[in-house]
Amino acid sequence: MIEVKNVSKGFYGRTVLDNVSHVFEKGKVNLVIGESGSGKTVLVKCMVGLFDVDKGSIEYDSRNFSEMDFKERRPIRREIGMLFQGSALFDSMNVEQNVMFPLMMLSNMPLSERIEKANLCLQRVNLPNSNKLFPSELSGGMKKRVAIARAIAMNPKYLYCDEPNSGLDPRTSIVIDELIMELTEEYQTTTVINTHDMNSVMTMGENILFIHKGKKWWSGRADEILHSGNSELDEFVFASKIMQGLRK
Amino acid sequence: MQLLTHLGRYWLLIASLLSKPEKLSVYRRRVLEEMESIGVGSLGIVSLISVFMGAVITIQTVYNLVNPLVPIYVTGIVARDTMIIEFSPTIIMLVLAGKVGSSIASEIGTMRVTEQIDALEIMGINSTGYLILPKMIAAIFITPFLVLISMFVGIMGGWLAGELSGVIPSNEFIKGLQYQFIPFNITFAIIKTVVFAFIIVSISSYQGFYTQGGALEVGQSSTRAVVYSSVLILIFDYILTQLILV
Repeated sequence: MIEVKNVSKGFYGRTVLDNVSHVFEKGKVNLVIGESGSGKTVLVKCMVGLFDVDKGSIEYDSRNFSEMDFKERRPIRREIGMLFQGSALFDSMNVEQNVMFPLMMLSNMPLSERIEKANLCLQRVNLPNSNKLFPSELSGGMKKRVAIARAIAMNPKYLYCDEPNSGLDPRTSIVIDELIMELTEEYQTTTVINTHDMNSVMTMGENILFIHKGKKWWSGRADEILHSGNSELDEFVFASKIMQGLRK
Repeated sequence: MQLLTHLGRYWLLIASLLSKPEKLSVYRRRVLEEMESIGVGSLGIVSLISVFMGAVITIQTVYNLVNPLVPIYVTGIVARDTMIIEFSPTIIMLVLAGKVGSSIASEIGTMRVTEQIDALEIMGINSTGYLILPKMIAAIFITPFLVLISMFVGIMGGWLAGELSGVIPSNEFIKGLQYQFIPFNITFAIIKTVVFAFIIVSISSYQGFYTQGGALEVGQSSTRAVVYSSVLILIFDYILTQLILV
């Protein structure tokens, strides 16, 4: 479980997050949604420690992450897996080396075990026989899968996904969404997804946080989102013609 | 004010390199890879520039020494001292600032804008230590060898040019090379090289590490890395010459 308590964050005098509190539950897919510039990426970056919060705290299973220094954060960081929007695979390494990287740096596994674990992770994301390919030789969907394989290599307790479907075709998006849901169930991770893809929201939304102008505006489940009665949320949810049709 | 901010961030970056590496075996391997990239990868250009510069120095010295009171072997002295004291440590390091510095800044800059550095940090890995420290150690160890090779190849180039063009006989050139040779000049050149290697890697890494934006900004960081490294090399060349030789 990850608990965000009264978190505020600003840049150069401009408030980006204003007193946001929310609980991200274990074994569930937790979604952070909102318009571009609403502050959801800043929230996720604060949660993983890429930004320090100005006020408030972030707790990983009651461990106050925001009060820790770099060294103290290390054990928690090793429990975090992250899928970046652009995959963030290391260009100089092939698929196998990318997946093995956290194992090589953070564990004492011998090489043979690391290879075995990397192969298991790659099979889990349906990407066998691609070990020796480099990121430049992969499609967008394959890159995401490799990034997921790397994120789950250390058996994370917390899985973050930043816009996992951006740049993917609808069919591949569904595959990635299903994969994330399966992994959350299988590893019982606290999964936090930052997205504005409504298809993902409706498919995976077990615990949704809607951020608007840096504030927590609404939270609930996917089946509640269509009847929230919240005008800002409705504007966001029913922006597309398909969603308007669904409402009718 | 902005200069102070940059200076503060620069020293914090350098200080962060000193933290304990996560895994020594990985860092050792990365140092060797960087040595190959910086050292072996630059050998061709260093040799080519050195051999021609040595040749040009020899021919121009002979051309300008028209006074019958100045012995012809002075050409050998000039070629030797120019290569050892100034050309090999300074000009070669300026060339490396262009070749290695831009490569470091663009590599680290691209990793920054494509979130690869964020990925390292989220894993709990000291990104500066992992990315910059091996480059720093490799450059400080390998560039003195490049400079020594440059000295040798440059002097050989001077001898060859004198011999081929017939402007100075071999025995006169070699006599000049041996005349009042000061071994400390080589030590001085190596001290300069180590300082310049530190400047190139630290400035280029700093420019790359704090890149924000996209491809355009990576290019700008790369250009700044070369310009600032080159200017600092020239300034420190003057300071070190003043401190050590005068």
